[in-house]
Amino acid sequence: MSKEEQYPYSSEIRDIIIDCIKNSDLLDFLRSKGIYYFNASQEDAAELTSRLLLDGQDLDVLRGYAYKSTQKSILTGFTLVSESFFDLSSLYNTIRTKETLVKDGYTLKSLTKKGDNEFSGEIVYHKRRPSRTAFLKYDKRDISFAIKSLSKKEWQVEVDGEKSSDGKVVQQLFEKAAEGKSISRDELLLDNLTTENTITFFDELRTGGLDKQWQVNDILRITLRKPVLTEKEEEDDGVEVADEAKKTEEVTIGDEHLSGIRQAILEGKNLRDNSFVHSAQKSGYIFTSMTYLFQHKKNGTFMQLRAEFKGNPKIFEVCLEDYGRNAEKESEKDKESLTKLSETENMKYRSLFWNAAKDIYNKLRSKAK
Amino acid sequence: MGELPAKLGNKWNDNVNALLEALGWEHIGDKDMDLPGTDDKDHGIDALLIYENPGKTVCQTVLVESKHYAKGSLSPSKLKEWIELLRKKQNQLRASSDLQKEFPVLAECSETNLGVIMCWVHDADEEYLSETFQNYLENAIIPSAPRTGLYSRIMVLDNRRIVRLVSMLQVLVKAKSFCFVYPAGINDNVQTERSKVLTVEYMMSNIIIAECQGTKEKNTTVFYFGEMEIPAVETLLSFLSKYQRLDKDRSVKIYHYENDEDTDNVTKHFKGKDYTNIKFVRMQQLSLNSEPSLNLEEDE
Repeated sequence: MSKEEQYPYSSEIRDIIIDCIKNSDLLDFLRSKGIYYFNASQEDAAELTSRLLLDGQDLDVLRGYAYKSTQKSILTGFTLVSESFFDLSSLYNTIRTKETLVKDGYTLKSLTKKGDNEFSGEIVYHKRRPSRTAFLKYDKRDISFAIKSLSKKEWQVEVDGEKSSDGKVVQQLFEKAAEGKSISRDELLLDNLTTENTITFFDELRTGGLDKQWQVNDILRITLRKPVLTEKEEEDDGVEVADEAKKTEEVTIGDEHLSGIRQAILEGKNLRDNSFVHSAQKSGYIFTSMTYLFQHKKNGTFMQLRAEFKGNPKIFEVCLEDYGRNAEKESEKDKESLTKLSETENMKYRSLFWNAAKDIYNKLRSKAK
Repeated sequence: MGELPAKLGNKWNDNVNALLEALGWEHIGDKDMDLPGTDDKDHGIDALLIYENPGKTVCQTVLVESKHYAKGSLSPSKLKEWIELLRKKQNQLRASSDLQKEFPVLAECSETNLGVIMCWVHDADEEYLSETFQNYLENAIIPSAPRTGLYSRIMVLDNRRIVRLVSMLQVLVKAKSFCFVYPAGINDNVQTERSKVLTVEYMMSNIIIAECQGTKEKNTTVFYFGEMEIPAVETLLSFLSKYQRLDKDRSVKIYHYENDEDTDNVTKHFKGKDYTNIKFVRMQQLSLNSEPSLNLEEDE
């Protein structure tokens, strides 16, 4: 514990437990100490726990739980294109030792070769959270990335981070590295697809997202967005509201319509033929995310993948939410199944899925032109 | 300080009560008695204790069960059964008027919302406790009844925690007098309090703060049962600094239970520097499979 990172007051511990730690994780922690709470609300349990004098190990466990509840592996990516020849790997190597980056808390680890003109690397940085207590002030982020030369003038970057914003961090670093090289960035943006094409996009991901050994057994979640005019916007006609959230209404499809969509999919029908999808599209809703349950045809392994356009502007990203043997899906150990997938494999599946999405996206865009 | 007498045999319940009384808890009624519940039935309990809770206006009532077991007789379901049964007793004795008639002092205490299971596994070793028994503890998931707004707690102490408390008492009884310190900001207290009582929260913690009256001066005495690694000790010192237990004009003794060949390197790391008044002292590590003696009276 560095001097800056002081021991938290018990009131801070209580607040962190309430705000950032799942009740089941807290109860796990307490049980490991031989402490059992009954009928305690999260507030009661937090209050009671904060009265224990926690040592360094205890704080590490709680800190880990606090980060875990917000931690997911999210894969996103972009392509850097230039008019002339450029080598992204050597550009990365030149900025690695830049003092300003080190000062800002970035550690750029060395690249490792994965294939011809294909490398992987890692960036570690501490994200400062100004509103948090000292205990959680610095959120350590590990971001893995893979770069691949698509041609002499084009490099693809895949970013594997914990948050959607991690993609942006890598993007900014690479753009800094390529400063003055007249390089442009290409991303999978929702804004570049027509409403109809977003439906086709998610529909094609269902059949072509992974290789033919995998088939979609279920659709677990669909989110739609509809741009809406806020009162303020109506008053100040013509003035753009900066905050995207203010302008859109997000809806997660309810069970009733979702089961209709599931049924249609299991019968091999197209998404856009579904009457609900059709009417949602007519009312101006845009598909922004879909969670698929894939199952391996031979060994029964399942994989729950979320495909989503997220952020402002909305950029495509992939999250592997669950993975395991079919029988385990029902068991209590379900929550642990993701851990059985190695990091490399986890990234491999998301990368496959993201690259398939990129192909679909490019195909749809070139058709639209 | 006299010799600590030999084992007290298998009178585990007596042993437990002696330990809890040495920690400032007050025993009420007999040992191993039947208590009248709200369901008009009697509920057998090994001991009923109360203690003054710093920062609180009412005393804490505690139902204590003493378990003396062999490894072979223990199982995950056995531990679950103990916890569930004690929880039932807590609920049946909660607000029992017959119980209050029998022990009027309970009217001024909390409800029976705290249970303590003191479990001594007489043939256990470190490996059994840190792996097998630890696993039992972690997996004792008891389904919770619908929330009533009244919560209750059960603490399970096994050999590991019990011997640490005894080892701590062995240090404390050598002082002219001692008290536990509850700094402002911990519990509900707005000012630092001193008490002869070790609360259940302290009992379950790896850091315990006390004050000892030596022959000349008062020392801040810290008992530390956590890891003896540099980062962990830094956290401990950060804790002591935050709760204003470090003082230029007063010596601080940190008694640490964990000690091996690397411990000296860790304590050396903190010598001098900003912490001129801190002294690290090794605690006596007690055997995990011979019942610790609890006769702690001085016979000078």
